[in-house]
Parts: sequence; structure tokens; C-alpha cells
Amino acid sequence: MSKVSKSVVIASAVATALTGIAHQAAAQEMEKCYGVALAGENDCAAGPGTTCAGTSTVDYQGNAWSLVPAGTCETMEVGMMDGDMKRMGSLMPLERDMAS
Amino acid sequence: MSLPAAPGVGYKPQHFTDLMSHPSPVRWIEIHAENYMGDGGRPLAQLRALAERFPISVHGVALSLGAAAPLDKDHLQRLRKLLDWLQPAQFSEHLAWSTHDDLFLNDLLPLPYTAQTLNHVIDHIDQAQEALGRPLLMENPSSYLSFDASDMSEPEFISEIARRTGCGLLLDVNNVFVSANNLGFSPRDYIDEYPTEHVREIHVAGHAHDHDDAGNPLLIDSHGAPTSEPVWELLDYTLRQTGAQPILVEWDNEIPDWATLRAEAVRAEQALMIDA
Amino acid sequence: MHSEFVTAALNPDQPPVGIPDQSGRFNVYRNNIVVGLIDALATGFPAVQRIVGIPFFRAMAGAFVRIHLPKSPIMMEYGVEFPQFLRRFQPVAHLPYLPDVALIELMQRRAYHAADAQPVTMDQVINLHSLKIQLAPAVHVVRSEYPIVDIWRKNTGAPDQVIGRTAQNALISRPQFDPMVDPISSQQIDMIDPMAAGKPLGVLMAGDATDLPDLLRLLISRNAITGLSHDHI
Repeated sequence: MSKVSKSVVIASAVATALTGIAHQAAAQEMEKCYGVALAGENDCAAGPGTTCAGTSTVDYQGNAWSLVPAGTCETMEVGMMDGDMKRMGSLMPLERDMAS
Repeated sequence: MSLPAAPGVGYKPQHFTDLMSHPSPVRWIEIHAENYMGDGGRPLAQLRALAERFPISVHGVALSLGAAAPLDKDHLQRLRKLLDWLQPAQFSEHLAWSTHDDLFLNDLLPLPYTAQTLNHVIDHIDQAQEALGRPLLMENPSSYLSFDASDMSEPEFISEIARRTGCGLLLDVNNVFVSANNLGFSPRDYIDEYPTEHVREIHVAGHAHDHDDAGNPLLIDSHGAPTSEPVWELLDYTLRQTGAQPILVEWDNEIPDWATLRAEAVRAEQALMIDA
Repeated sequence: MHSEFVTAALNPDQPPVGIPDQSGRFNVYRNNIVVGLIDALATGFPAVQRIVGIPFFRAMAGAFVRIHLPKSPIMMEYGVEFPQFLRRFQPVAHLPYLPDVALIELMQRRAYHAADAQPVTMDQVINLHSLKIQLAPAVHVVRSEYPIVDIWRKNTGAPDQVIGRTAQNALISRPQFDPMVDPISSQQIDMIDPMAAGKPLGVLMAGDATDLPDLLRLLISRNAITGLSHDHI
């Protein structure tokens, strides 16, 4: 395809893609309480008393770090390795989905 | 718009709809300044809508008036911008420090009460009032321990500050009760010694019960429960000396539903009816 | 007094100076500082917390907090270094997608507080070649080698989300007040930077541009385009 005809094709694809996009009015927007709203708020309250995370340190550089992640990473299948070998939790970087 | 001598609540986004549709008996709100220092989005949009409806008290929690180092000029500028835009009824901050060197410790830390720290705090309040172009109210802290170096009582220290800076006072009755229990003084004696003529706002809040290592009871200023009965009683005692005041219900952790928070405001309203 | 206080607050082994032994009451301040900051990270990175579990997250956040105390008094800005910290934190080295999840959460928070902007409607798109597009302040992208949007969704309220096999990049935008996270292709994410730099669409169409129509459609539907202008040739 020539450079000019290619851009004609893209331009018409853009025009098609853009027809009929309507902006929905967001009447309820103001009322929603979204999780991000609570991310990192300043306040003036005090936390727990005299025994808690602040009163001891966990040394992660020495051998003292003995915790292992135990959330969804244990059961979440993240992609697949070569072939059909499924791996749990973590994997090699995936092949990029490159357009040809 | 000035704050009415009526109940107010610490504003939480969860309560936006309830507050806008049936606020009674809540007649004003307080916000934490630092949570409205973003560039836009819902926080500022909500604040704009609230400001059309309610008088607002802006409560700073990070200016660090008790720090050893000079006040953060950038932060003063951000505060000024917020206050100039919002034009709140009043602005308050804490008798505490929360920054050191270039670090922010995200807590209201205590000061020894000495001539030296007194001069520090006074300089900082003078500087803040100048930079913000308005007087501020200073709030008494809640304490868990005392310093060897202190040679003044807290009410004495606060009286001097009010006298020399012309600032107003925000009297947190729950803080008085928490400190009195933790440090072993009488909360009523504290109120008697406190310069109540400078009070422009009162806070009440819930606290948590804990113990220190020796097994002695320790109260934590958790803002995560209803205001306790003895604190309501101390409020009654205080109002007899200050006269009717704007009373704020603070609830920052384990945020309750609107009905529960509103019930606290109803209780504050009753205190005002009885005592004022 | 302030220096000694801070040192003792951050190091539980060091007793506070100038404060008589008060039966461990100084620990209240240690907790207020450290636990308060851990809580701030937990609210800021809920998907990361879900992936590694609460006990692990809180211990890891405790390690982060002691290295990266806030420099700003505005807590909504806290945790900028967390994604980078995760890249180097050995105990999560086997979860290499974790830093990208944290980046999405950070960018989402930025988008939430970004300046408001008026979106264009773009009823008529003319002179495509010379058209320059202005993106909203809330627009952010996260590049990843993992199906990062699927992973993020699965850990933020969509537990049934199937995690695909292909790498995804994330486009973060804010149609009105709530940030949105959408997957975009490699070709599309490569178009965002030149777009933000004010390059006309003609430049973007010089290479492979098959994904451009979909990208424009996405950006418009997310109110992410706030200005159009033409490069006068």
C-alpha cells in the first residue's frame, strides 16, 4: 500500500471509529465513594497502643526475613510458559503482542 | 460565614450524599487541609459543593508548629492557596510537631513545655498568621507521656501562646480527658486553668482503652468510636465556662454510617441546649 | 530533643532521651508513625496487598517505611518509590509483575487528584495529518511485560477475571472523577508519548498505525482528549 493510500485507509477507519461516541452524563459521579479517595489521607487520630508494628523491626536483609507472600499470588495463574506448561504465581516476561 | 455555635462533623467522602440531603442537626463541617491539596477531581468538586451549603472550618494536620526547624514555606503557600480559594470560617492547627529535617512523620508529636519551646511555637504561629493572612486557632494535644524538661503546665503554656500571638484556641475536650488519664491529672482542674476566653471551637471524639507495659490503663486518641460518657460530662463542664461554641464530632477511623455519626451530633446539640 | 525523639521513634532498640521510663508508653508514638504509614500504603496499594496477603504486605511495607519516610506532608503523595522498591525487594523477586501493579495503583491515585479539564467531543475530525491532540492531565500509562491489566482487575474487585497470555500496557484516565484502567497495545502506548509531546497525527501514521483508530476511540470515550489543534504546514 502506498503511503498516501495507507493514510486514507487509517483516516477513514478513524472516522468510522469515532462516529456514535456519546458521552454519558454522570449524574451520580459526585456521590460515589471510590477506593482511591481513601488512599493516603491525612488525619489527626492515633493508631494502636504500645504493642504493634512500630515497636519491632523486621530485618529483611539478613536471614530474619522468613515471611512468604500468601495472597492471590499463590493461586493466580499468570500467563503460560513455553508450550502448555502452566506455572503458578509468577512467570517469565510474556511475548509482546506485536502487530505484524 | 462564621461557624455557628452548633454541632459540626469532620467531613468524610462516604457521607457526602447524606450530608447534602439531610444534615440536621449538623450545621457546619471541618476538613483536613492536606486532603484538599490535589489539583482537581472529586475531592475539590465535593468541597466546592459543600462550601455552598455549609460554613467550613479548615483543620491543618501537617504544619508542624512545634518543629525545631523553620516552617515549610511551600506548605504555607499551599495552605494560603486553599484558604484564599475556600474562604473558610476559620483555620486551626495543632500544638505539636510532625516534621524533622526533610522528613514528615505523619503524627502529632509532643513537646516539652519550656521557655525555649514556647518561644519557638510563638515564632511559628506569628509566621503562620502572617503568611496565611488570617489568625489561626491552636489545638491542645493528647499526651501519652511527659518530658523531664517541662517546667510549665500545658494550660499555662497555651495561655502564654494565646496572649503573645493573639491566636484563638480550639479546645479538644477528648484530648484533655485522654491526657488527664494518661498523665494523672484532673481534667476539670485543666479546664479551670485553661484560658477559656480564647476558645472559638470545641472538639469531641472517641478514644480507645489500652494498657502500658506496667498494666496501667492507657487511653489512645483513636477517633474510632463514639464519644465516651465522661467526655460528654467534661464537655458540659467546659461549656459552662466557654459559653456556647461550635462543637465538632471527630471520627477518623472505623468511619460509621451517617445515622451513627448524626447521633453524636444530636448529643452535642443537647449539650449546647442544656448549657448555653 | 527532636532528633533524639525521631531516632528513638524509628529504632525500637533505642530508648528515648529526656523522657523518664514510662512503661513502654513511648511505643504509642512508634506505632503512630510506622503503623500510620503502613496503613497509608495499604490504602494506596490494595491490589498489591491482595496479591501478597495482608501479613506479608504489612511486614514489607514496614521495611519500606523505614527506608522511605515521607518527604511531603501531603499523604496522597506518599509511596511514589514503592514500585521501584518492589523491583529490588528480594522476597518478591518471584512476582516480577508486582511492581507494574503498584505503578497502576500509583498512577490511578495521581489521576484521581489531577487537574480537571474540558474534554473535546470531536464530532468532525478533519485534516488528520496535521491534527495535534492534547491529553488530559489525568492521563498516565504503565508499560508492562505481563498481562498487567488482567492481574490488576483480578485483584481489585473482579476475582473471576481470566488472566490472558499476552503482555498488556495500561492506560489510566479519568472520565470525570473515577480513574479508569484500560489495556492498550504496544503500538498504542508508543503513540501516547509523541501525542503528549504535540506531534501531529501524520507523524504517528508514518509507521504502522492500524491500532490508531481504536486508540482515538478509547481516548475520546474516556474524556482523555482536551484539545485539538492543527499544525500549519
